[in-house]
Amino acid sequence: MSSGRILVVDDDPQIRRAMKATLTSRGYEVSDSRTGEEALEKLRSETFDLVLLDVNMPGIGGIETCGLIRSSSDIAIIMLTVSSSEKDKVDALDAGADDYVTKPFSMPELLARIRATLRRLPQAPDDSGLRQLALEGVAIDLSSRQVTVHDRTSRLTAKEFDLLSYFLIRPNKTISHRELLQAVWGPDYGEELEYLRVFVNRLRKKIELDPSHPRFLVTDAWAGYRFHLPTKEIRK
Amino acid sequence: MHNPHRVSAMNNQSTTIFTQPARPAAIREIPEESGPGRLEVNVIFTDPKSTMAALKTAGSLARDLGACIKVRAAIAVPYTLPIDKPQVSIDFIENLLCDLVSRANLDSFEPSVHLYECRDQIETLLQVLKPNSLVIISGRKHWWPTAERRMAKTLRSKGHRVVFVDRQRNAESDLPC
Repeated sequence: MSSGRILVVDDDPQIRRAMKATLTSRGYEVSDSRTGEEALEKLRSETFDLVLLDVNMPGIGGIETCGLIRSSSDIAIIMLTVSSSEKDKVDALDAGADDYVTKPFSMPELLARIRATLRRLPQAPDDSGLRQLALEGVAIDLSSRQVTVHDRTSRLTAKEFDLLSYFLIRPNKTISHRELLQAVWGPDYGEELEYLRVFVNRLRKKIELDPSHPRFLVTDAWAGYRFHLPTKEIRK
Repeated sequence: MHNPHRVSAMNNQSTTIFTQPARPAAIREIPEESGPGRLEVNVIFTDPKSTMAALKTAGSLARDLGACIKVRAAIAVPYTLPIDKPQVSIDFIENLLCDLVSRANLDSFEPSVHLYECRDQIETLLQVLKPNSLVIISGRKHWWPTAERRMAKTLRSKGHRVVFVDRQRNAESDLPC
């Protein structure tokens, strides 16, 4: 199992080669780019956990690349700077870098910084969750935001769909009321239990064949709600 | 259907409906239901400050649920007075409610105001609410049961889905009263 996906961006082929070899031997999946433009292109098409970004590169420099990455992504960024001047470090951090390493650097230090940065990353949503469900006349497709019950399209509001998505990507897991409220309505929520009940009730009416005896959206008394699914029915 | 006069809709009760936007001409009629399938968020009038708090919650619920808003005010008239002569002028309450609704900026949720002159508030609300209605009541939160909490409890016990809103947390301070 990979420890994480890392994109190394440096115009020096020797550094790229050395880092690729070291990081791969430590269990990381590594991809590399020579320029900032190439890195941005790669980030659009692939998913990475961390970018190691050199400051001094031809074309758009490291600082600008960092700013462009940060404007559209929360991916971890470690800048590799030649200069140890305060201004360079400040510029790198202000552009959105999570950390910086001054060249020349030792591999153990770089590896420790990578581990520390990856530890700080917010927990990614569980990718093992469902994107599609087709079961007993109920079809839910999260990508196209379609819910069909017995060949009839059920109209869900944006909030209802957000709630359903949250359940669907965590099948068979009891989710507390507070977690649901904060995940779907925002961090200011947490106590509005009645609010949640209203929405779960509405969702049941829209996706359950018999809302008074729900098969999917199950209440776990005093704990929260659970999206119940027989595992064999899961289709990713 | 539209009658310029208040009409007796039920025993011991008369009904008035006002439809927003802004301050409409009073349309007084027997209550009729909105289009099939459209969820209603029923806001119960208690007092101006609490009702404003309830309207704010109703606005966000109606937006998230694609619902319309109905403000229902059951005005209890003592038995010593005729049913159409409440202690507080019905026109005053009408103005107050229309003002509250227009302040809450709920135009996109087709708000309507329903006034009922009655002898018993809860009994009247139970008669006019559809089964399993979504109801919002606002009031003070205390450790002892307030009138609003009792009303919420009764409606809940009759199968309605009641959201109780703490007016201290949700009300605006710029209300006229």
